[in-house]
Amino acid sequence: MRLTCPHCGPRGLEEFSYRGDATVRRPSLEAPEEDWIAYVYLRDNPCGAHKELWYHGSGCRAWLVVERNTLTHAVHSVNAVSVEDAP
Amino acid sequence: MSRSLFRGLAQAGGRAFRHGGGNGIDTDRQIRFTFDGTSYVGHPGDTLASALLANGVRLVGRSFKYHRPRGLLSAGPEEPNALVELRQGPWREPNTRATVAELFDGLVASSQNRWPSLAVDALGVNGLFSPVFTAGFYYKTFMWPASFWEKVYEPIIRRAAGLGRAAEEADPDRYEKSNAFCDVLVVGAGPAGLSAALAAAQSGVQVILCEQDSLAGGRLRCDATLIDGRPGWMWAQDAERRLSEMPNVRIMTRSCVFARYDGGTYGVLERVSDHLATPQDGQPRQRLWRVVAKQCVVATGGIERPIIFPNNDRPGIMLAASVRTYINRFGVVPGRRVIVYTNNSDGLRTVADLQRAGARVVAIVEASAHPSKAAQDLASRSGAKLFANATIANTFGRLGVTAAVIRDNYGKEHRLGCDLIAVSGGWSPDIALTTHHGTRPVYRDDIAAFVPAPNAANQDLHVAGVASGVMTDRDAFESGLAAGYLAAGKTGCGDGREQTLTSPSVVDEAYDIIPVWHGLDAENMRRAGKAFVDFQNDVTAKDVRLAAQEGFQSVEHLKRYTTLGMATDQGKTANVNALALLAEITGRTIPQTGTTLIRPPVQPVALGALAGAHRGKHFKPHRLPPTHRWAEEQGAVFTDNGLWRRAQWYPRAGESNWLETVNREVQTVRNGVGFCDVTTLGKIDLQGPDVRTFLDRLYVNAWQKLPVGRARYGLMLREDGFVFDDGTTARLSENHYVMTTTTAKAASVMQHLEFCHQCLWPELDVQFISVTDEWAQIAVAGPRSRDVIRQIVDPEFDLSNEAFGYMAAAEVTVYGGINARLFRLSFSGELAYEIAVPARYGDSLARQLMRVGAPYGIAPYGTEALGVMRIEKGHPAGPELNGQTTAHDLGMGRMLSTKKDFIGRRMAQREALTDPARATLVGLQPLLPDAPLVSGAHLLPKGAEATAASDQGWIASSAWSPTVGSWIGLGFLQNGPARLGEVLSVHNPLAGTVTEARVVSSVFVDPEGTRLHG
Amino acid sequence: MAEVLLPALPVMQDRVTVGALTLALLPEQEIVSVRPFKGHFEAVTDTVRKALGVMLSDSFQEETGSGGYAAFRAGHNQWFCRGPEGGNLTARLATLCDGRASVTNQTDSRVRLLLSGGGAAAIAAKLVPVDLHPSGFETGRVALTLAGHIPVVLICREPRLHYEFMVFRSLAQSLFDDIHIAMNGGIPNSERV
Ligand SMILES: [Zn+2]
Repeated sequence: MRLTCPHCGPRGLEEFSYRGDATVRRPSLEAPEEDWIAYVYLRDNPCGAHKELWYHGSGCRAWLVVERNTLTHAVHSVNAVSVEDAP
Repeated sequence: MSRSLFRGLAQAGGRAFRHGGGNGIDTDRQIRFTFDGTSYVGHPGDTLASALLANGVRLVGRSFKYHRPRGLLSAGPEEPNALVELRQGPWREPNTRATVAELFDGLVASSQNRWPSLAVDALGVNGLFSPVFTAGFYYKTFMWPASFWEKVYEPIIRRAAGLGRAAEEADPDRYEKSNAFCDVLVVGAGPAGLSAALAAAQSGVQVILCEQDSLAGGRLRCDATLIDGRPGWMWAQDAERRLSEMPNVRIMTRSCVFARYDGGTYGVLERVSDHLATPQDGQPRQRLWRVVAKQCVVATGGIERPIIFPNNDRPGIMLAASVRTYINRFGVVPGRRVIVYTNNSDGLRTVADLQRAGARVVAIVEASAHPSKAAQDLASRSGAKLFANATIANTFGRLGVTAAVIRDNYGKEHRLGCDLIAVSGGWSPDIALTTHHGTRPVYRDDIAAFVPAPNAANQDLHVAGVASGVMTDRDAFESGLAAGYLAAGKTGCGDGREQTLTSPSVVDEAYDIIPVWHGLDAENMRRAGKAFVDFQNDVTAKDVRLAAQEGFQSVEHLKRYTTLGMATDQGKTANVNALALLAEITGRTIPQTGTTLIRPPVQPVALGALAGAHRGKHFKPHRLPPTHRWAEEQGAVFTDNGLWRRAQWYPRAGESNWLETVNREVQTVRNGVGFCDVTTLGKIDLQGPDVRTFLDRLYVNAWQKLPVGRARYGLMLREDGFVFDDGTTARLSENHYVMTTTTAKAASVMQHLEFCHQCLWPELDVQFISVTDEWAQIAVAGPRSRDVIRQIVDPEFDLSNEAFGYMAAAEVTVYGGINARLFRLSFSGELAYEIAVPARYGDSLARQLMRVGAPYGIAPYGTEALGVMRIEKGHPAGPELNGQTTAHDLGMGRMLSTKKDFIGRRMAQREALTDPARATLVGLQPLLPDAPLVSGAHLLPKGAEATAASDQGWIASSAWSPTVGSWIGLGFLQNGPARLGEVLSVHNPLAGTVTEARVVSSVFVDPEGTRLHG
Repeated sequence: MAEVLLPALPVMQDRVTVGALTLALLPEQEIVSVRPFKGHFEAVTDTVRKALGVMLSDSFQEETGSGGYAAFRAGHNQWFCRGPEGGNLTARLATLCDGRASVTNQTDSRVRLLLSGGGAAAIAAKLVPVDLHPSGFETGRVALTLAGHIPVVLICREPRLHYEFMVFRSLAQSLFDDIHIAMNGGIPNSERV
C-alpha cells in the first residue's frame, strides 16, 4: 500500500502509522460519559469509504487525513491535518 | 534400461538423447554435474531437467504420498514432480524444481523422498495402503486421540510423505533487497511482453521488463515458429537487444514477479547467482525487489494442462509443449517412440517437432469427435496411427512408461509400446497476478479456460498475449503492442511520439480445443489405476469424486479436503482440471462450480530473500549511546533496550558473577559516586508561548507555575485513563522547555505530542523537536557527585545546594566554554546530577569523569544497578508502567489536577479505575532475606491456595538490594496501602514455589528523601 | 589526560571503498532546526534569507547560498539550516529570529555520510524506498525517508553518483554498516551505471 503524502510525495506503507477514524472529535471535559466512551472506544467498521488518520512518522511527521475505500483499498485523498501545512 | 547402460550414456558426453543444437544452449562447451551420485555432462544453457533428459534419466523423484516413480511433467516453473535437492551441506536446498534449476559446473543434485534409492523405494508400499491416504485422510484417520498426533501420526506421516530435507546449518548465502520504480512494468518477455515493452519504450516512458527465465522469448524459444521468416527466438533476441539499447528500459531476467500488492507495488524475486557454483564475493544469492509501477502489463503466457487418465503420472508422460521445449530450446528429444495425446490443435505441433528431432510418433490420439485435417496430414506424413474421439485408457512401465492402451472411437483397446506420451489438455492463461487483488477470473467456453475478468484490466493493469486469452502468436504480438501503448499512455509520462510499431509477420493457425478433461469412464474411475489430478500432492480423480460424494462440493472445500492445489506448485497444472472434474461429477457447469483465487507468491520465495540483509547482528539497527566505545573498552556487558544497546554492568577483575558486580556498582553510588549514560531517555525540546498550556494538557499535574531553572516530574496518561509515560520536564527559559521520556516510549511520546498538537490543539503556538541524539546525557550520582561535577562545570556557575538545589536545571558551560545542561535530578535517591554535553563530547566526558572522580572512587554503573536503585527508591519503570496501571495504582492518584483538562482526565475518573480495592503499588520484602522474589509471581493471602479466586496481585519488579541486605520487590496488591505489615504468600507458578513476604513501603531506602536533597 | 573535552567520531571507520564506490563520513557542519511560530513564517523567511542568503522553500529542494550556507525543508513547518563549523549558527539564528521561530541546534544529532561512485544510486536504492531517477531526484533534492529500518534525510549531491545520508548520531554506525553491506552486494546487472 502507498500513500501520497501532501508534503513528501508517494511513499510506502512502512513510513506511516495508522490511528483510525479521523471524524471522531474529542469531547469537552463536561460532556456526558457516553460521549467519552464513544470517543475512546467505539469505532465503526465501514465497508467502503473511510476517513482515517495516518502519521508520516518516518517522513515529515505530519498527521494526515486519508480518504480510503476499505473494500477496494483505493486511496481517494490525502491531506495534512494541520493548517500550518496548507500551502 | 540397466543402470550400467545409463552410465555408458553419460560417458558418451550426455548426447544420448541430444538430437542437435537447441536455441538456448551452447553445445560447444560441456559442464559436469552429478545426480544421486552419478556424474553426467550437460551444456551451458541447460536446466537440470534438460541435462538429465539428455542423459536418458527419466526417473527423477518419488511422489509425496504414494512414493510413485515420477519424471518430468513440464519444462518450466509449473513443474509438480521433479523436485530435487540442490547443493550440499549448509547450501542444501530442498524442493527445487529441476525445470528451473540452471545447470552449472559442479552442480550436485539428488532426488528426494525415496529410500533407500530412487529405483527401489521401500515406502512405495504406501500405494498398497492408499485407502488411508485418500481425500480427507488427515481428518478421518488421525482424529483421535489428540495425544497421538505428536507421538504417532506426525512421525509416520513425516517419514512416509513429505519432500526434501532442509539444510541443518544456517544458510551461509547472502540475500538483499532493493527498490525500483517505473512507469510501466511488463511481466514476461514472450512475444506479447516483448511487444508491450517495445511499445511502452517507444512512448518514452520508463519501462521495466521482468522475465523469470534466464532468456527472453517465452514460447518463441519453445516452438519452431517462424517470425518474419526466421526462427522466432531470433526475433526475441533482436527485440531484447533493441530494448537493451534504449535508455528508458531496464530488463531484469531470472526475475519472477511473484506478487501484486496495493498501490502499484510488485514483489519480484531475482535469482542473482543461483545459476553459479558460488556467488561472487559479497554478491547475494537472491535479491528481493519491490517494484513500484504506475501501470503494469501482464504477459505471463499460459500453462499447459495435462489430461486425466489412469496411470497418467509415469515418467515419460509429459506435457506436449514441454516436449517441444526440450527439443527446440535444449536440443533434447525426451523419447524415441511417442504417442501424442491432445484435445487441441496446439498439441499437434508436437508431432512435426518430434519427427524432425528423429523420434517416431507411433500414434496421435485426438479427443475431438472427428480427426482434424491437421492430424490427418501429420499422421500420413509421419506414419503415426491416428485415433480420433479416443482416449488413453491405461499406461504401463514400472519406472517409466513402456506402453499405453488407447481406447478408440468404438471402445476397442489398442496396446502400443512407447517411451514418451506427449499430452496436451489445452492452455490455461497464467492469470495469477490478475487475481491477487481479489478479482475473480471468468470462464471462456471457446478456449475452455479462465481469463482475467474485464475489470481486472481496469486502471493500472493490462493483460496481453495468452495470459489474456488470445491464443495465437499474431494476437500475442498485437495485444502486446496495444497493451504497451495503452499502459504508457495512461501514465501520462510519455513524450507523445507516434505509435509506429507493427506486429511482425507470422504464419498462424487458429487454436481449437474440445473441452475433454479426462479419459476416464465409470469403470476405470472405480478401478485401481490412479488417475492423477494434482501430481505434487498425489490427489486423484477418485479423491475428487469422493470429496464430492461426501458433500465437499464447493471448490474451496474440495481444495481443503483433498489438499488439491495446496502444494508448493499451487496446483498450476491441476486446478482447472480438478474444477472441470468436480463440475462434471456434480452436474454443474464450470462457471457454476467456481474457481479459487491465487494468492501471492506465484512461485516459492525463500525466507532468506524476504529477510534480505536483516539477519544475524544486522537483524535490526542498534542505537549506540555516545559512551558506547568507551564502555566497550571498559569491558562492559551490554543489553538491548529497544534499539538501544546499553551497558548492563561493568565487571572488574576478581568479580565472580554479575550480582557481585552490580552490588559493587550500587554500593559505589550509595557510598561515593558513580555515573551512568542516560542519553537513551527521550529528550524533546519544546519552545513557544504556549508550551506551559501544552504541558498542562499532556501531563496530569500542573505546569503553569514551574519557574525558569527548575524541573518537575510529570505523569502522562492515555486518553483511556491509564498511565502512558513519565519523566521530568525542565524550564530552561521563559518559553523554552526540555522534556524527558522513558527510553522505551520516546518515539511514541513524540508521536503523541505531534497528534495532540496537530489534531487536538492546533491553536497552541508551540514547536518541538527531538534532541535525544543532540546531547550526551550522563547521570552522576552519589554523595560525592557534587565534588565531581564541580570539576567539570566551569567555575562561574554556583553549584552550591542553595544556588542549585534538588530539581534545579540550568544551561551551563563545561571545560572552558562548551555548552552544557545541568539538572539536579535523581533516579537513585542520592544526591545526583544529570549533565548533558553535545553528543560528540560524550565519550570524552566519560573519560574525564573517570579522571576527576578517581579520588572519590568513581565507577560507571550499568542498567542493572540503575534498576536496583530505582526499585530501592520505589520509582516506577517499564514493568510498573505496563499500560494496565492507573495513576491511582501507582500511588499517584493525588497528582491528578482537578483544575484543568488533560489527556486521560475524564476516563481516569471512572469508578473502576479509582476503586480503592484495585491492586496498588506496594513494596515487598521476603521474611527470609535470601529468598528470591520473582517478577510475575502472584500475591496471595498468607497460606491461601494458589487459585485465581485468591489471587490479589503480582510482583512487577524485584532485585537483590545490597543496601537493604535483602531481596526486595515492587508489586501491585489489592488495597495495598492499607495492608502494610501484612505477610503474604508469594506464588511462582513457573517454579512451583511459595515464599512468604511482608508488605512494606515501596520506598526502601531513605524514605524521607534527605539524601537527594543533600 | 588533557583537561579538555575532545570530540569523538560517530563511526568506527570514516571511509570504506568497494570497487568504484566509496562511503565516507562527511566533516561536521552546523545544522540548525528552524520552525516559525504562528504568523511569523514570512518574517522568519526574510530573516534567514538576509542572514544566510537562502529561502525557506516549500519543496524538498535544498537552497544554497554564499558562505557555505544552505537550507532545506526537514518536516512539516520545519527547515534545517546548515553552515560551516564554528559559525555559531544556532545562537545567531536564535538572536535574529528573536522568538519568532523555535531554533534548535541539531549539529550533534545528525551525522552525514556520503555514498559516491558509479552505481551509487543503485546501492542507495537497496536501502531507500524512494525513486532516485534523476528526472525526479536531481541535485539538491531531499527525501525524509527510511534507509532499511533507519530514518534518514537523503540528499542528492549529483544524480547517480553522490548521495548524502543524514542520520541520527546513535544510528550512524548501523547505517554505515548497512550501506557497506549493500555496496558489497554489488550493482545489479539490470542497473544502468
Ligand atoms: Zn510526509
